[in-house]
Amino acid sequence: MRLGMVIPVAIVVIALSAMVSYKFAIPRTDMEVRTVYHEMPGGGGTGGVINVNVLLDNRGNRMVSSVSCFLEVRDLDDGLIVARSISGISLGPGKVAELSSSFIGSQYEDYRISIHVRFESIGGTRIRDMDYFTVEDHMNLVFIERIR
Amino acid sequence: MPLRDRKKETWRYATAMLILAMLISSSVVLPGANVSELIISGTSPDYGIFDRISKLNDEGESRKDDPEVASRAQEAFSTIRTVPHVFQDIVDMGFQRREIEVPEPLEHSPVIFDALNANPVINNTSILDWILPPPLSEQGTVNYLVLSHHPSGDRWFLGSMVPRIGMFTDSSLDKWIYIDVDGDSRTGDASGNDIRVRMTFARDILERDWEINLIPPSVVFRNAGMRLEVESTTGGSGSGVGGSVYFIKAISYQDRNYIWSVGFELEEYMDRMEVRVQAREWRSEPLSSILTGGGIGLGDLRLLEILGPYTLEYSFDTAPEQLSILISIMRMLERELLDRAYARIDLENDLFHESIIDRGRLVLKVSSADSPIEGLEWVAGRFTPPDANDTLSLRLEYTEFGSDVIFARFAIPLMPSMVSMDIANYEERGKDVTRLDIRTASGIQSASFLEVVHSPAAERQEAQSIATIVEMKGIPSHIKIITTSAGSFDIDEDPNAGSGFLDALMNQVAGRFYRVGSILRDLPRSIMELPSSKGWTEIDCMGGSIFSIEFAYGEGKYLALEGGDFLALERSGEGTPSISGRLSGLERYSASFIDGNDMSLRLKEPKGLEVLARDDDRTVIVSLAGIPSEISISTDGDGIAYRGASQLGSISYRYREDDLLFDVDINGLPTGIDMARSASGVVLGCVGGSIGSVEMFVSNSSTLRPLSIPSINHVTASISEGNVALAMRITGLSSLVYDNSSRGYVQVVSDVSSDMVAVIDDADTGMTIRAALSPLPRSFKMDFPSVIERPQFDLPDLRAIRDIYGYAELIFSIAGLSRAVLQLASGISEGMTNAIGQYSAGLDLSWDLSGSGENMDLFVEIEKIGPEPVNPSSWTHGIWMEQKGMGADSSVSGKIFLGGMPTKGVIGLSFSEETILALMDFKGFRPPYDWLLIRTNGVQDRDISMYITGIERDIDLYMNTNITTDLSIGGKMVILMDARITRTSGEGSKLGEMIATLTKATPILSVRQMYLPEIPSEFFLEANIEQGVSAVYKASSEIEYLFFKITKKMDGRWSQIYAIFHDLPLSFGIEMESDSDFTVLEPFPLQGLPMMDITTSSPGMDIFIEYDGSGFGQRGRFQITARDIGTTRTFYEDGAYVMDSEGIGFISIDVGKLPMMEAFSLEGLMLLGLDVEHFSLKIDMAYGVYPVVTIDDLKGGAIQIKLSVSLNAAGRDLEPSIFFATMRFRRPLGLPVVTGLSISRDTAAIEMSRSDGIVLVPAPVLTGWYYLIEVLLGGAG
Repeated sequence: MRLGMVIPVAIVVIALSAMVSYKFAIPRTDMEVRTVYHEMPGGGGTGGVINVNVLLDNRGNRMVSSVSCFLEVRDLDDGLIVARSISGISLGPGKVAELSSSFIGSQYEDYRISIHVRFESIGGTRIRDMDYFTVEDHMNLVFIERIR
Repeated sequence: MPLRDRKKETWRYATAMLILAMLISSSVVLPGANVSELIISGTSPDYGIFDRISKLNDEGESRKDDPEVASRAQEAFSTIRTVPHVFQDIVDMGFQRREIEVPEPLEHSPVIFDALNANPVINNTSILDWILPPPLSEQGTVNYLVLSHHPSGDRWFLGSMVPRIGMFTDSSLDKWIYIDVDGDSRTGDASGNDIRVRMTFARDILERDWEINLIPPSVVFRNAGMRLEVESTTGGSGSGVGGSVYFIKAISYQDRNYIWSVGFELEEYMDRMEVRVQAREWRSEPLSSILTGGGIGLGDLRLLEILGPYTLEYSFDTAPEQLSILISIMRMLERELLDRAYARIDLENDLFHESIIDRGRLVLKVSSADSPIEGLEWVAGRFTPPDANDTLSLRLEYTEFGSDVIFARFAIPLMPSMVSMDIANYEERGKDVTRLDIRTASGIQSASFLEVVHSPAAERQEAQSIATIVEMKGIPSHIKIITTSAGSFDIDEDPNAGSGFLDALMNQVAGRFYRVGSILRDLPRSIMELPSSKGWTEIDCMGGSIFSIEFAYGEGKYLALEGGDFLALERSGEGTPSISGRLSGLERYSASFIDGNDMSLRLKEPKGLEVLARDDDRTVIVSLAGIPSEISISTDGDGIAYRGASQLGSISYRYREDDLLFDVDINGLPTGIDMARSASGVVLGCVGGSIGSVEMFVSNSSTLRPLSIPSINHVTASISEGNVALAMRITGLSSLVYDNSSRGYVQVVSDVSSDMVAVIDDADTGMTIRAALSPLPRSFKMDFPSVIERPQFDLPDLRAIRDIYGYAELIFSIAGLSRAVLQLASGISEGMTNAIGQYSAGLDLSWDLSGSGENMDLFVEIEKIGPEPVNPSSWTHGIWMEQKGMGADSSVSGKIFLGGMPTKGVIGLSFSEETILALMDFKGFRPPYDWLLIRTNGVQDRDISMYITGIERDIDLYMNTNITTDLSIGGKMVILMDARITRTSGEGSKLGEMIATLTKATPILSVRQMYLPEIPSEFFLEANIEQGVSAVYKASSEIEYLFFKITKKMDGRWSQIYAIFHDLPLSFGIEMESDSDFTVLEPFPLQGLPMMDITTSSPGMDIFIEYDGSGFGQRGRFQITARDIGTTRTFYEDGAYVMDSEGIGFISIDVGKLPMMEAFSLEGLMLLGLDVEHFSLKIDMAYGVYPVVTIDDLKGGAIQIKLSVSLNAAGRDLEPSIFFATMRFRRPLGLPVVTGLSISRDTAAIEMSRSDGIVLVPAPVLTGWYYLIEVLLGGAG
């Protein structure tokens, strides 16, 4: 193999090794919090059905435990519309948990979505508070936050 | 086109074709579907429905101010000619003030009391001992005093009955007392004595009318007693001297000493007068002296028994014109005299005699000393048989001295020769009952009774005298009286009272007289106080009648009419009320107050009665004419029942108070009226007919007069400055129900149908209402709207009467009805005014004309002047209302004409902020026109217009409607219409075209509209939109259209939902539920589509639905056109959205927007199909962003799908055309086999018969090429 060929192959091998090592070998904590705001098209009679779901996706290679997640949806006058929570679960690497909520409201209004996530993993307790605001004219929005 | 451009165009085209050929050749090219037959139509078919709606609206507009209707209304209101009612002054109304001559109270017995106290002889102990019985006196039992009273002076004498009666001795042994009455020796006998007197044992004793019984050992005396004799010393011509002479004796029993006296007052002492007091039989222990033949020691007789009857007799050898008998009883306490009772009996010659009857006998029917009195009998003249001509004049005065001084006077100017009164006392139902059976020889022409109770002044009470007078004329010969709670029959006399023989007898006689007197004296009071004592009374003239009874009670002054029957009750302050009355022709009266309160009266003939009740503030006069000869009033629980033998002629009620004037005239009362009261209201019902007419006038102001409308039934109410005047006239009233419960109502039933008008003129609110009902329904029921404050109607309560004046309060309390009516009238006007524009108002109305066979025309005109002018309403066949503002600040103009109203009907209207409930149930509807228009603008914040055509005559119509339109997010919409139309003959009928529009201005301007080309005989539609949508439709015949629309103005544009159903089957149902399940782990676009279930009784219905969800806070917009639709449903299956149908001839579903993700949206998805039976739709997101659409399980003709997308790139929104690669496949063995591939832009089409499904994949490379070429060639791609 000519040297000119070796170098690129080596670079590729190193890169792949690095990626594989990062993915599987190097211990890490990586929780993705995917929040989806979704306006149902089928309507809800005299109101629109709106879903706000939170997907907790353990993208790291460590087990996380004592996972709790609190979800609140409020209107812009701070009136509580819906609140959901899960707690006390454990998620292995690659595992997901979904917190679902739905309510009937105006799909033309904006809402404030507050999420509080807490879990235990090596390196201590992770706590993250997230606040999102929906934006008019978007029928669905995805908010992604990663906690490492 | 220049040559250079043409070349450029050709090059551009050739390049594109080349690229296209390259792309196609890179794919497996198979024949595509033949979709040339698919006709795609995006336009909404309206089937010409909007033209018909437009024409119907124009026709409805032409019904405004219909000239024929206006003419009818003018004629109906022409009868309203009001006349102010004048409240007449009723201060006297013929009543005169009279006064009872109340005698001054006696302080003690005349003559005798003073004489006993003043004469030193009496104060001499030895003299007193002379008459006192043992142990005070040795001989007192047979000793007595005699007092001769004369203007020349009193003279005292000692007397003694023969102390021992020899069995064979003669009466001449009795000692006479000779008296010079006038102290003039020139008069009288030679010694100057004018009279001689003595008290002896009755003569019969001395005639040996006695016997001795051995077993048991006793001595029996018959007809024994006491005799008082007064003789002139000058023989039969009379002494020429008059005066009074008293026999005074003492008795002692129960350790008390009493002195009694019997005196006789004569204008001239006649030759001989004898008075006897006897008992039928006396029994005593035998004395040895008798057995040994010696005399009887009267003082030693030990009395065993005195048997009745007791007899009092008087006799004259020569009868005088007048005799007064004076009886007095005193008690001696510590040698001081206390007066107890005094009686004076005056016997005078009557009109038919020059002197009193020379003899008379009074028998007290008593069995024994310890039995109650059983009767009384008076016989004058010859005792057997009585001579009817032996009459005299009797006057009895009685005074009892106690804490109150009771005075009574009883007078019979023509005392019959025989009066018999049987008295019985027994217990019945726990009550003491007294029965009197009074018989006279020929009735009593007249009798009068006066009783006065003098109460001395006491702490916080002035001295007062309460008098009762009763005057009776024409008393029949036989009367029975049964009553409870009369005077006591208890025997309080000691049968062995008195230490001596005569004392016991006198005590018995006096006590029995007192008992009879107290029973008779208590009779009027006990009758009047029966309600509180819970007793009963019966007076029966035994076939005859009392010509008249007149009575008065009070402190002296009372009111009376010169002639005629009356009852007057008057009270001033807290003083004793005066009650007076006169009743003639009484045959029978009974009253019972045990459980209920029952009174009945039988009169000789129908008559009139005037009743007056008055106190410091109030005056009532009630005039009754033609009172039936027999009437009864019964109260049972909360019910009152009146019954009469015939109709009562009329009742006139006049009430005056400072703030209330109330007149009622009732003519022609039926034979029976029942009233019942409950916690929730009052029920009045007539028996045996109806009330001829009732007229009522009431005002709470002397200046505001009720407005009467002569000769027509009416209700008028005038309101000004807070005052109310009301007039009402109704004929033929047969029942009335006033229900005051939470859902209160009033129901009036009459037996004649006649026109009625109503006028309300409220100057305070500026509201005027005129209404004409022609004719007034025989049965009319109206529920009270909740906005009206309802008063509590209090029925007069007979049970509440506790004293005699309670009857006056009863009469006053009737005026409480007028206050309630005023409150109701004021409440109606005020309530209606306040309800204008307010929610939670409702009206329920029902009526019944079925008996009259007539249909009612109803005309109503309402005007309310408010701050804001309002368009004038118009006459039409139906309702036209114009309104602005709310409550007191509103302006209203309204006109209602409902012609040929059903003979029996119910209307129920209920309004709330979002709901209208309307119920019509008409029987025998006969409208004069075949159309009906209802238009209300601004009423309840809504504009409502409903126009119905094709109304047949003589139909029964039932229509129940619920329109709920809470268009808020999460609200509820209901459309309910349930209708049945039949001819009165029973055949099915129908209504013609109908259009109803409801426009609501707040909170968001919105319109609902419904159109039907006809309403079949049976029609039912119910649509609910809340969490989902459901609708049920049923009809008795197929109709062409059903159209409804809901629009809402949002941000300056109309968001509308409307649906057209065409060629409707007999029934169909729609269920549409939203699917709120959502997961992040699945593709978004098809999540949340509605699950639809359409069922039809037969295929062939066409549907067009335009749905814009923005009005409900939904982004979704879709349009559905379906023709020849059969039963169809959609659902989710394995993540796919599935439609399954019996068959849809043509379907077009145009969905406005489907969410994909933030930067990519499906802006439109149009699905078109021919003869569609089944398909499933699935969208997968390749790599999370790349949609792959799969349509599978295809059955039917052809299907076409069209997609449009939007992209958001670099902050720019793009809606590019996208090329799709469409791969068709079949499933011969359940496995997909690709049968063709085609490229298309925005649209993919498939013929179902040649494919089982398609996979639709956006072709970005091709799209990229396309746009690259477009950019390169200047947009011609």
